[in-house]
Amino acid sequence: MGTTLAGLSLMVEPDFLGATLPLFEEGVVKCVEWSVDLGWSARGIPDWLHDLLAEYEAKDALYAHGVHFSPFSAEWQPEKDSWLANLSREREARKYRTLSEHVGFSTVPGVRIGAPFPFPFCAAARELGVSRLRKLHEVSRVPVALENLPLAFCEADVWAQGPFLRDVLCGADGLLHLDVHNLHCQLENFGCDPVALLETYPLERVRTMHVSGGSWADARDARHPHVRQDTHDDDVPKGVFQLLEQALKRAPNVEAVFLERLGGTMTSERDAEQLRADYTQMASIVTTSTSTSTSTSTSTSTSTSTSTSTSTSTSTSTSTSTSTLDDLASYQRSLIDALLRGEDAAEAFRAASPPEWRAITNGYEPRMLRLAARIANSYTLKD
Amino acid sequence: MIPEHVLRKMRAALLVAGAAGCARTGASADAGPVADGSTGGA
Repeated sequence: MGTTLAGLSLMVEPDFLGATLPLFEEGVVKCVEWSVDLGWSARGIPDWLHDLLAEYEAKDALYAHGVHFSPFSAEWQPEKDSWLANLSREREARKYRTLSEHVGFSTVPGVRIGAPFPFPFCAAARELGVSRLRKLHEVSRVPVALENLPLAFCEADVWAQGPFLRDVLCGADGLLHLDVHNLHCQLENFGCDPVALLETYPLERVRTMHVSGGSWADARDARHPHVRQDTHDDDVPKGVFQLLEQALKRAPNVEAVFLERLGGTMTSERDAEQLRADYTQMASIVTTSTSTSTSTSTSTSTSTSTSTSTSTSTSTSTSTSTSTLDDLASYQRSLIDALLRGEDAAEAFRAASPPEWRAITNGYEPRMLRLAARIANSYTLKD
Repeated sequence: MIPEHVLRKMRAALLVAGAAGCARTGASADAGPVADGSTGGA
C-alpha cells in the first residue's frame, strides 16, 4: 500500500469555507474532491475555488465526483447528453485523478434531479452499470468509480450490493468509491455485522473513500423507532471512525479519504470546531492505517472468497436474471411515482409494483419505503 | 502547503460573506466572485 492521503470534499458555502480554512492554513489537507456538476450552473465557481483546484491539480491530488448523472437510470434522458458534454469540458479544464458517481438511480422521465434510490440488482442492471461506467470513462478519460448506496429497502439488498458492485466493476474495470457512512447507515438500519458486510465488497478496487456524518429520522415503527440517513449535516459518529479503520485494514490500494460536510449546515463556532476535530481524527486514522497495513494487505487483497456467508441472502435479487432493461425502467418509474405520492403510496408499492418485480418488492420494509418517500419529496426536482 | 495568495483569496471570500452576515450560518451560497462563466446543465 502506498501513502494514503486525507482530504476534503469541497463545498462553496461560506460556513464550509470558514470551518475548513484553518485546515488549509495548517497544510493538513493533502487532497481534495470536487463535485464537478455543482460548478456547471451559469454561476460557475468562486474565484478562490478556481485557484484552490488549480493548486491540487498541480500536485496531482485532485479528484472528481459526480452527483447528478444517475448511472443506473434505465432510460436515457436528454439531460445525460448535456451532463456528458459538461464532463468533457471539465476534462479539458482540469486534470483529475479519478471520477466517482453513485450506485442508484435518481432520474426517470419527468424527474431531472433527485437522490439515488435502490433498484433490483438484476442482470439487466449489471449490464447497464457496465455500459454507463464505460461511457463515463470514455468521456472523462480517467478511472471511474462507483460509490456504494446508503439506502436499502430490505436486508437482502444490503448483502447483495457488494457482490453486485463486484460484478459491475469487474465488467467495466472500474473502481469502488467506498462511502463509510453509507455503509454505517445500513449497519444501523439492519443490524448487520460490520466486518462481514465490509468483506462482501470488492475492497481491492477501492482507491477513494468518503467519511461523513448523517442524521436519524423517525421510522414510525415500534421495533425500529429510528432510521439512519446519509444527510452529511452532522458530526462523524464514533462507529464511522471504527468502520474506517476496519476498511483501511482490508483495502490495500486506497489513495485518498475525504471528509464530507454539506455547506450551509454549520450554524455555530462549535460546529466548525467539531468539523476540524473530525478531520483531525480521520487524518490520524488514515496515517496510522497506512503505516501499519503493509503486512496485512497481501492477505486481504483477494476478497472474492468473502461473500460465501451471505450468498443465500442475495437470492431475491439474483432471481431476476430474466428481467429486461424495459422491466427495470418500469420498476424505476413506478417506484418514483409511488414515493412522490407520499408515505402511504410508498408502502403500498410493495404490493403495487409491476408484477414482474412483486416477488422482490413484497420483501421491502415499510419503514425504509417511508424514509425513501420523505427523501424523494425533499430532493426531487421535476421537469 | 497552499500558497499565501490562494489563502488570501479564501480569507477575502469569507470576509465578503461575513459582511453579508452569513459566514457562520451558510445562509448564502455566494462565497466570493465567480471565476469563470462556464455554463451547463445539472
